[in-house]
Formats: sequence, structure tokens, C-alpha cells
Amino acid sequence: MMRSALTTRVLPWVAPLLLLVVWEYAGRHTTSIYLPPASDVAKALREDWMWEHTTRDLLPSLKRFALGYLAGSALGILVGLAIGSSRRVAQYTGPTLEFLRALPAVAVMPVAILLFGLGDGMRISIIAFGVLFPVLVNTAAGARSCRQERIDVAEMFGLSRLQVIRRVILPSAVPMISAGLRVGLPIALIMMVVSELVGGKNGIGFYLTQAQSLFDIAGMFSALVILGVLGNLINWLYVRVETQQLHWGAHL
Amino acid sequence: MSTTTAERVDAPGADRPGTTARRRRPTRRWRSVVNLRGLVFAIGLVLLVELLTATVVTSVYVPRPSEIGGALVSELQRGDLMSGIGITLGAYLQGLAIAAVAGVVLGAALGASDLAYNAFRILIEFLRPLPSVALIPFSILLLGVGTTTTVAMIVFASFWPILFNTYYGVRAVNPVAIESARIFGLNRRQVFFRVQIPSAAVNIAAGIRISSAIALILVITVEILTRSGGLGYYIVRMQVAIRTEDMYAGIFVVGVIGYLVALAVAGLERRVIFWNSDIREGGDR
Amino acid sequence: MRNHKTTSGLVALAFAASAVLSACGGDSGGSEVTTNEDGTASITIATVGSDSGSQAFIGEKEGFFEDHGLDVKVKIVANVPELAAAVESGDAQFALTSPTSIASAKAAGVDFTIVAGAAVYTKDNPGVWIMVPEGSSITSPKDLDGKSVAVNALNTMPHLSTLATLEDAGVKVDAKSLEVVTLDFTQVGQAFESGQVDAATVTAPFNYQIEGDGLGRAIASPYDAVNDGKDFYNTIWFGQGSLVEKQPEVVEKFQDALRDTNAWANDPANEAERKGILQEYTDLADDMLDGLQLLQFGDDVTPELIQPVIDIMEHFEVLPRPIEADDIIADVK
Repeated sequence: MMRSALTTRVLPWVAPLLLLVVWEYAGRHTTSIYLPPASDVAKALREDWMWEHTTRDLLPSLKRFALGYLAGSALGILVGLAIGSSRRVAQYTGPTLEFLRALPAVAVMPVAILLFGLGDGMRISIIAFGVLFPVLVNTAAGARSCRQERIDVAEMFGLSRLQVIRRVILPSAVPMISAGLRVGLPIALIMMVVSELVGGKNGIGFYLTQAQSLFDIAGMFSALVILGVLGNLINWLYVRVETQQLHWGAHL
Repeated sequence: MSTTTAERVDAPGADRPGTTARRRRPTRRWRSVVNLRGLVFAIGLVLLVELLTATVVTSVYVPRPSEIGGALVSELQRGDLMSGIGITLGAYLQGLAIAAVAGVVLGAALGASDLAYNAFRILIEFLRPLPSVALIPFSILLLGVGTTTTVAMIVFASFWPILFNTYYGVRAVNPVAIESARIFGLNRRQVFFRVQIPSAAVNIAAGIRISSAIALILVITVEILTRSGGLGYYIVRMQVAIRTEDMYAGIFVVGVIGYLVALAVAGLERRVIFWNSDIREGGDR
Repeated sequence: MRNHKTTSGLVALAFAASAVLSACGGDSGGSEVTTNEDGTASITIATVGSDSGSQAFIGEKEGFFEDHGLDVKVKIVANVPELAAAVESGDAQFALTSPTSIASAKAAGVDFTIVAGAAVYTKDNPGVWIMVPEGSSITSPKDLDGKSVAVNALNTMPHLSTLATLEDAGVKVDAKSLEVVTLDFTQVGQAFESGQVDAATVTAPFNYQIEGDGLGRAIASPYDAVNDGKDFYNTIWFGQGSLVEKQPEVVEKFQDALRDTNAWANDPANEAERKGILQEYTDLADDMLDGLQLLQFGDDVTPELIQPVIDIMEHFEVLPRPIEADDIIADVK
């Protein structure tokens, strides 16, 4: 009993703490500026992210992240349902979607600028583009996994195609949709950074490039720490929402 | 399941609403390779864009599909694009292979041992969401500019889905299967390699499928950001040289590769699922 | 149960090893150049894929590096952070960048030093322009009051020189009265076309493209404001300070090779051939090359040709501490 508490509660913190110690030691004993001691990074965290850059860079980033994620997820679920519930739609759109899916965000940026301008719209669309495909693919797979007998029964009871999708296919696809939404989270985070690397005037990605060009390596590390914390926070939040709202998907 | 089923074409009429027969029928081989409907849709879309770019969207930065097509033909003959494709695919396969091996091995190890899982849980959770593009400068510092950095970034990004899928796959093995294997006299190691790993194969395959798409996006992105050769470098070089048609020809090739990779992965995955018959009955419809 | 522990132990070991490796990897900063059997020294130089980085291409193509006993490998790298990382890691011995990044590096405590000159700004060949969209009512820098201006990156020469130009024209350049956005040079034309920015600072050859496509026109040359129209270095070659100290002979060879390269490149007689080499490395289209005004390269790096750049950085409070040009120039020759 004691042992299991030790393994689950204490052990997980050993490796990170060890790493911090090694990092601090190595940082203090290297001549390379590219490995600042952990304490320098902590200082940069305190000076830059409490709260100047949090309001200037983190909040705009989060706003774009949220909008892009929601837009991409909504579109992904809609298109995914269409594909998953109709073999014909899947056949028609399959190759085109597979083609689009492979395009990296950096490569579609010229098109995004053309459509959405230079501002937040372009960045949000790039995040949405990144989230769209994992959600779509999972939704389609979930919709397809709905048992044919259930669809047949529903159709026998006179439900229209749309009603079948909403009442029969969508509910049985929820666990897979939920999995897709979760896969989309880290991708949205990556896209958020990528969209801020080229052009722009604020955001974590922007902060990162600024720190790079000024050789503020501790600042770069602090941005990485922020991103890591952010990723976990968002994931934790998602799991909470998921277990509360979509408890039918929780068993997956 | 990606859009894999899109390539399986049914007998005509099977899609009619009200048909109570099972939708999936045995497919003929040649039809599963050529998806006519998909082709028609794609061609229609290209024609639409052609029409739009010829009339409404007349930006010098948006070349017409026909111009891109012409550029593609001449660029493919020139050789630069071809060598770019070679470099990109090389880095892609290398990165994905390393990520697959590392992800499966570590995922299996974490799945097999609670101790290992707990020891690295927080470290992994923290590292996982880090966008690999943010790590590029550090990677260059350690590995230099070039293919090594590209491969390392691919590995970092595509490692996690494989790791977690393997981990959950190993964890989710039916206890009955393990018990019966023990009864048949297999020791823990044997159970692990002969029961747990094979039944995690579907999960592992799914992880590799997810990663195969991530890795492709990553290889092009890193090549664009670092200009370290390959298709991404070709694209950015054409952009900087203000040869927009050639740039889009390069982007088009990326999309085609993505499509082919998805086909290949789907084919591989079907084999794995075929091999694992119990899953096949349950999940995939 | 024993297997359990072995596995976990192995995994733990692997993780710890990789963590330590990645932590210590930062130490491998040294970049000793080894001399080959035939007396040549093998070096890698990192440059950018444009005319300002073309010394490397010319030196390689025309054999000037070989002439001076250098076996050079040319790498094309994207931008300043990558160039700096390449030199810091010893992946490249010398790299091309702007004096601004060396000043920033010095201020941050990085041991980089300027080893040779590259592109020089001259009043009749500035290489950078402030442009406005075609049809814009803006005709001079003073009209940019309260407008948006795009630059490729903040705190670089195009950015700071634009601010200086506006300031000279009596425009307030604080965040309230001027909106500065960052935008890649390649996207300026598109931004003009769709009316997204009021002005942009653009380097060659993108200005030719934008003018050629009828999307915009130049209204000022911002580098004129840096040193009152007098010459200064726009780009330079740099390396690790320790390398310069330990192996000055390698730096000398590199300088000599570049001297020959510059003499050849600056000679108008070689213009067609130089453009041919540039095209080979960058794939610039023929019509773009025809109109391109090639940059002039400089040999010796004197504080007078660097200090104006540092002064303008200090003026706009980019540097955390003052830097002397003399301190960032290698003491070789």
C-alpha cells in the first residue's frame, strides 16, 4: 500500500526534478550560451511572463488557439459525419481530402493570406486547418463504426437521412469524435506557434522569434516552458470537460 | 480509419437507402486501386479553381492550375524537383522508422512496467505538447544544419502518437488472454512478446498511421524553415525566387505524396487488421 | 516480477542517458579546423540564398577558395537564429549575417566576432526600399504618420532604418502612432495587392517584382538615414571568437579568398557571369535577374563601417548594453 502510493505519487516527480538538477548543474558549467541554467530560465519566466508578455503575447495566442480549434473541430465533425455516413461522399472527396491533409501549414500560408488577410483571421484559419483533419478522420471512422442494423432499423421507422445521422450515427460516433478532438489539441498548439513564426506582431511564437534574434536563450527556454505547461493545462481541461459532458465517451 | 474505406468501391446500387443487405461486398482488386469518383471530384475542383482564377481571383500570386500543371511538367524534367522528392522521402522514412521503433519499444516498456510509467509520466506529459518547430534552433545546435535536424524533428513529433498507442494497446490486452497464456505455461516475458505485443498491433498500426501524416507535414515544414534541402527547400527557394507557379507545383507534389502515403499506410494497416481477426469482427465496419 | 524491474531499469537508463546527453551536448561549442594532408583546410560556411550571400557561391564556383588553400563546403541556411546556431555548434566556421545580430550576440555574451566584409550599402546602390502600394496617396515618409508599415523582422536593419527615416521626416515612431507588422519579403506583394499594409520595407529582388507586377512603388531608401548617406556594412561574415584566436591563419585564408572574390564580383565586366552563378544557386527567373542591381562587396571591416549600425540600435534601445564596434571585429590583419 505504502509502496503503491510512493510509485504513483512520488516517483513521477523524481525524473523531472533530477533533470532540473542536471540542467542547473550543466548550465552553470558550460561555456555555451545555449544552455542557460534552470534558475536563469526561472528568472526569465518571472520577469517576462509575470505579467507583461502574458497579456501581450500569451492571451492573443490563446484567443487564436481557441477560435481556430473550435472552427476546425466544428468543420471536421460536420465533414467527417458526411463522409462517415455516406459511402458516396467518402468516395468523391477521399482523394482530395487526403491530398489537402498532407499540405503543411507553412505551405498554405500564401493562400490563407489571400483569403483572410494578414491579421488574426489568417492565423486562426491555419490552426483550424491543422485541427480539421484529425477530427474529420476520427469522426468519419466513428460514424462508419455505427452498426448497419441500427441504421436499417431507424430507416424502417421512417427517419430521414439527416435524422439518422443526428440520432443514430452521431451518438455512436461520439467516442471517436472525442478522441479526435483530443488528438487535435497538441496539433492546434503546434499550428498556433507556426502561424506566429512568419509575420505577426504578438503571440508566443512571435516572442520566441524575438528572443532568438536577440540571443535571449533563457527567454526562449521560458517560452518552451510556457508551451509545455499550456499543453498540459489544455489537456487537463479537456479531460475534465470530456468526462463531464461526454461521459458516454469516457470509457474509451 | 482515415479515409481508407473511400477506396473500396461497392457494387453499384448497394448504397441505395433501404437496402438491408450488408453494404460491404467483396471488392474487385482493380476498382480498389482506381477510385473514379474521387478522381472526378478532384478534377471538377481543379476546373472550378481554374475558372475562378481565370475570372474572379486574378492575383499575380495565385497562378492558374493549368499554369501550375505546365510548371510541374517542365520542373519534373529539370531534375531539381525530383532530387528534392528523393531527399524529402529519405528523411521522412528515416524519421518515421526511428520514431516507430523508439515509440514501440518505449511504449511497450512503459506498458509493461508501472514503475517505468510512473517514473517518466510527468516528463513525458511535459515534453509531448512542445511544438517541434520551436525546438529547431536547439536541434541545429546539437545536430547541425541538414538532414539530421530534419530527421530529429520528425522523430520528436511523430514519436508520441506511436508511444501512447503502443502503451494503451499493451495495457488494454484482454486479461483472459493473458491468463490462458499463463495457464499454457508461458512465462511473463513470453506472454509479453507473444500475447500483449501482437494484440497491441492494431493500436500500434493506428499510431503509425497518425504519425505518418504528422511526419510528412513536419518534414516539409522543417525543410521550409531551415532550408535544409528537399521538397520544402525547393518550395521556399521558388517562393524567394518569385517563381510562384513552380512553388505551387512543389506544393502539389507534397499533396500527391501525402495521398500516396495514406494509401500505402492504409494498405499496411489492412494487413495488420486482417492478421488480428477478433478486432476485425468488432470495430471496423 | 523480475522482468518488470529489468525492463523498467533499462528504460530508466535510456531516458537518463538521453537527458544527460542532450544537456551536455551544448558544451560541444569548439570548432577547431583541421588541416588536410595536402595542406588545405576544410571549412563549412553558412550563407543565405540571395545576392547578399553570393560571395560564397562565387568563391566556390570561380575557385577563389581553392586558390587560398581552403576546401569550402557552402551551406544555405534560412536566417539569423539558424546561422548563429550553426556557428555556435561548430557546424559552420563562418556565416553571413547582419552586423545587428553580432551586436545583439555580443550584448548577450555570445563570443561571435566579425571576420570579413560582405555587402556594403552605398547611396547609389542601397538594396533596400520603403515601398507603398500602387495608387497610394503616400508619396514620402512623412505621409506615413499613423499608418502601418511591414518589415521582415523586428530590430533588424530594414526595421530600424525605416524608423530612423520616419523620425527624420518628423513622424513619431512609437507604438501608438505607427503600426509595425512583421511580414516576410515574399508576402509583401500579396499584402499590397489586397491592401493590407500602407507601406513595407523591401530588399532586392522583391522590389523589382513588386514594381514589375505594377503592385507598388518605392518612395524612399531607408538606409540613407543610417549613416547620412555614407557607406556602411549591411552584411558581414562572422565566426567564433575562440576560432579567430586559436587559428588566425584560417581566418586570413578566408579573408584573402574573399578579397579575390570581391575583386571579381565588383568588376562590372563579370556581371553577366555573376548573375548566372546567382541563378544557379537561387533559381531566380531571367526577367528578375535582368533588372537586378548587384550588390557591392567590401574587403576590410573598420569600426567606421560598423559603428553606424550599432548607433542606430542604441538609438532605438535594442541593445541591453552599449557595444563598441571595435569589440566585435576580429583582430586579424
